[in-house]
Amino acid sequence: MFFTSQQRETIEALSELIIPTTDTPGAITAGVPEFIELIVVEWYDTDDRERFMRGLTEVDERTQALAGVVFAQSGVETQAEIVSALEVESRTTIASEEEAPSSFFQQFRGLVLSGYYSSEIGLREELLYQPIPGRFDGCVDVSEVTRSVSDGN
Amino acid sequence: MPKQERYDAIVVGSGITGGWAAKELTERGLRTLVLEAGRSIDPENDYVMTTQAWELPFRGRRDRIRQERERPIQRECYACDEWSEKFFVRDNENPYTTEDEKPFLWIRSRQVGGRSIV
Repeated sequence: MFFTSQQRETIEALSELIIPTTDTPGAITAGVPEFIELIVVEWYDTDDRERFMRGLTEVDERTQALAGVVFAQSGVETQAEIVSALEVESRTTIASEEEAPSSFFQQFRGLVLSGYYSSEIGLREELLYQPIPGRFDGCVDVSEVTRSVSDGN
Repeated sequence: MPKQERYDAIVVGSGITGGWAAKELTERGLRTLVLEAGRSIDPENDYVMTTQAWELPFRGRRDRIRQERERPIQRECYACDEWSEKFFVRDNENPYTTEDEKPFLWIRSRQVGGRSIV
């Protein structure tokens, strides 16, 4: 196995923080951690994989320094603080559109989003999946129950 | 001694060009033989357009590392995706050469219907 159980727990906790379980299923239920593992192990090139592993280690190291425990064991407030800091830092190193994501956080968030929104749960339960949209409504009233439509792409 | 058949025309390849050639030839009454190296497509089992992204291991991103090994040329074709890759030849089993300084992307799809299938 490529990841240690601690790394796996960090991936799960971080994924679930980015897309939490609400009235729709979160990242863990949608199988995002397994998707991330597959991409990192069997799709990434060496550079991407090294950046990912470095960033993942850093998440736990920073949480240790801040709260004395690893990320998955830390409380919601600590996790939110860590992720907020990562997000803010990632904005200062934002890559041009042609380049690959330049920070671990951008990389990770991209994996969570693409993993979630290509899953059956993400497409069918969170989004309204219409692979063949039959009609186009140019002007609709948006309410709390309005769901975003996706054709899966 | 195998039975010998005589044809007025032999079309090599059943893709768009070969298919049309055979149509024109037969419509003009020529006894025509079409040769195809690939298999027949079985719609019930081979069609992929109803396969959803989540049913594919890489969700449509393609198995990048395996493709680089098996289909380094075919993968340059937009249609050689995680759905339709099986309709393209494996380059590692079907090598070809070109003149120096004259590279050629030979996109090859081997079945009845040829590249029109993809």
